[in-house]
Amino acid sequence: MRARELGLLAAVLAVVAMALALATRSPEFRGPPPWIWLVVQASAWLIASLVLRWKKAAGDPLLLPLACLLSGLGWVMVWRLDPTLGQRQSLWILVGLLAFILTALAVRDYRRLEDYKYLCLVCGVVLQLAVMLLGTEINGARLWFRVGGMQFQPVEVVKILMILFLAAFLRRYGRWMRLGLLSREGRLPRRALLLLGLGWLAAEGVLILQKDLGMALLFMGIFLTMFYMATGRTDLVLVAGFLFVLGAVAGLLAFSHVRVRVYAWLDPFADAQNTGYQMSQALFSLGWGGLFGTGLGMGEPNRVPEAATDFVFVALAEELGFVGAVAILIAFMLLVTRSFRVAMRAPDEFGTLLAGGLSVLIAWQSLILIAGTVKLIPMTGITLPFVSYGGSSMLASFVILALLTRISARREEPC
Amino acid sequence: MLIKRRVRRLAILLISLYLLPVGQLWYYQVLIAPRLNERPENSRSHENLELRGRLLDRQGKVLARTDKGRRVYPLGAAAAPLLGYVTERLGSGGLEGELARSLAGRPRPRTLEQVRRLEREKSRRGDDLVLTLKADLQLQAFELLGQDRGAILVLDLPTGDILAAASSPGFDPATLEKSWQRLSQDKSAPLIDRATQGLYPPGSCFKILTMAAALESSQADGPFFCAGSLPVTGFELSCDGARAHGALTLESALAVSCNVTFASLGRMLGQKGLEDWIKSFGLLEAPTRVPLAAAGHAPRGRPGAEEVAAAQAAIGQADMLVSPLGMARVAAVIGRGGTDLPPRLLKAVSRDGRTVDTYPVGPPRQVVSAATAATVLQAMRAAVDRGTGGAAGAGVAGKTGTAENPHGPPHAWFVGVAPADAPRVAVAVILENKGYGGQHAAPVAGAIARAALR
Repeated sequence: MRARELGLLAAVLAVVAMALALATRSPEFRGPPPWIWLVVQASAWLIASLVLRWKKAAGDPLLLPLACLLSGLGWVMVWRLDPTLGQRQSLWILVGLLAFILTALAVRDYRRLEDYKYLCLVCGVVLQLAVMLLGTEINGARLWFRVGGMQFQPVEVVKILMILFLAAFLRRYGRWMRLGLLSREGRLPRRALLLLGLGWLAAEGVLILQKDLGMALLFMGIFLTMFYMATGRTDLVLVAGFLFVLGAVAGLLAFSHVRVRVYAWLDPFADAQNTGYQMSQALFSLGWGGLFGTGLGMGEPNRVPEAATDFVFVALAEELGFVGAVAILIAFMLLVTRSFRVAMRAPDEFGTLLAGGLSVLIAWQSLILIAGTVKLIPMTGITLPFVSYGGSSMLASFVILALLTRISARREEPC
Repeated sequence: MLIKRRVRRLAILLISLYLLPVGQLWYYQVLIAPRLNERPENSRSHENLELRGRLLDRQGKVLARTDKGRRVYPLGAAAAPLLGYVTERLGSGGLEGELARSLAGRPRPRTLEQVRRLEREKSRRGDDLVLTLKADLQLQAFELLGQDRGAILVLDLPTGDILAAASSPGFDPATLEKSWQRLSQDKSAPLIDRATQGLYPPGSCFKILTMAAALESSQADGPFFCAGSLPVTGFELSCDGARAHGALTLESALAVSCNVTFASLGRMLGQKGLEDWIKSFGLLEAPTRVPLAAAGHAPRGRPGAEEVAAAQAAIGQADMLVSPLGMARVAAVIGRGGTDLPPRLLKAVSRDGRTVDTYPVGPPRQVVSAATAATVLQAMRAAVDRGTGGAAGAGVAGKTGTAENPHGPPHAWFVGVAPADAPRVAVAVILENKGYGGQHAAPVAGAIARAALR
């Protein structure tokens, strides 16, 4: 199994190297080509694979190569857009891989995580409240901690803590909810319900107050999907989904920043130089790429504001074309398929719920972002896992990958 | 296990959701990509500004050219709303945007094949476009508007050419990128060319058309009597200050701008009849040789209230809207002895100094008889000689307008032709929320008409 993973990693790294070669040959490429960083990165990926094998923690052999492909292409694009960001992104990928190895080694038995569910809840709530009260304000929202010159977005950690908590909580109490919340047997212990409610309020409330609508939507999606997974209560999920839509409409009527985004989504050309600027530039970028793209380094994706973070998928679609964009979508589909497979094969219910929750996270986060950039839904500022520029999000993605690897390893070494 | 069945179901659902962006990508990257690439806001499509063609006036004076990668406009703010802009960040707007297809130089190569072709061929400049404008007249018109919001439009009668189309406030095209935020949100809309795109109630200027229509329908047999006000199905129309004009001929009714007389003519013509005339004067269409020009709106009477609508429309009120270009076109028909020529702003296309294409004049179209036109022209002379339009000065024939509107004080209008005995130009002047047309717009119109004849 490991040999397959190493082979795939080598093939993927070759693709990334070719992408870098193309991008650096463009006349607009600035600065020296970062070949040294590529070599360092490649070694780090191979080391990560070998360490897992040595520690007998090897899991699904497709997860690591898929993550490597996505982060590699993202890195080439980020570097091509802005070498300064590219340099930092190289560092983030290395730090991410280190976090991947450490997490995989630390979590010897993921089932132990179930015991820490309330700690996860408390940490999550504390982080959310702390950032609201003590965080640094950027663009009118407190979503970041600034340490030294670095910014850190705690919500990226909170989303993993939330999934850990939900997986454990739903494993324990899902049975009651399955029966019905109103029946005598179905009534939840009051304390548990209170905790769930408070945790939920802290997570969603802070995000809505801080106008991080993308994350609020993502949390909602994860919560409802995991709830369905554990309980099968389609009716409750539909009711909650309906309430969410009502809330969204109310938000549309009440908040001007929501309205602006929705109008910019419905008709970006109506105000193409102001509120619709980013979206119309993104559409021009897509159109410019066409079927086969301009070629890496040959387009002008820098015209789209936030090309390296929110619109990195559009930048890739411009230079790699429809064909390349679909290839990236397929890579995401494969990653999500494999991680759901981990959930299906997990030996216990907690493992299934945890891996399922993490798969749902990757799926919703990439879908919400990509749908926003191709004008399926209003644009929300979240990152594309593994691909977008950003330290916190990169770190979180690698920790998720480590957890999935650990859960998939369980099955292969029966205990 | 039940839970795994649900996980499988979720997996299938979420993975199939990835097909939605595939469809959307296909739409934007393949199906409508060519249209996206051509949009004027898209600054990718005309990067090679160095090769972009120039805009020239009718005498070959430069209105827009590229210098060191920047677009330069010698007339500055005076022609900015009409000519528009091209910048790296904002893309293009106005004529620059609308005519991009002819002006644009060779697009930057996008594929390897295009790079090879570019190496084989030598680069080609975009075409120069010759407009019908007269640069110095345009400048004078803009200066005459001064600090007021408003527009001036001057038409050449023999050709239908637009000699000047000034709109105020203008903007400085040289600093557009820096001031964009402010300009685009400015309530006084400096980016819009009011002369061809602004739509206003025409006020009493419209009586020219009503009079011609009534004469053509032989419903204008006087004399008329004005009691100061006229009741129309539960509504009362009155003359300025409800002052009674007494017994009037049609000519003197136009000269003193009698609302009662013209409202009763409108009532006789009926809403439908009036609308047909508005249409045949060409006010409801957007002229094809004036890019971006706006079509007017006919009055829309609510069912049962057609009579009121017709009476109000006949004096240029109600919900009818016309551009200064449209009103100048009406005056031009009268000045030409009843013949309409479609207005023209594009004159010719020239490539490397040679004219490669010209936009034709005409075709002429008889709208009203020569006799009708002569009668109306006589009345317009009377309006200036001894009526409301005296401030326009000698040699001009025309009609004032003071158009009520929901945005504040009335708009001051003047529409006319000059010289009065054998007209060669038609002018339309509007000053927004400025007050009486005779007091404010007429002198401006007289000045620009005399400048145009020089």
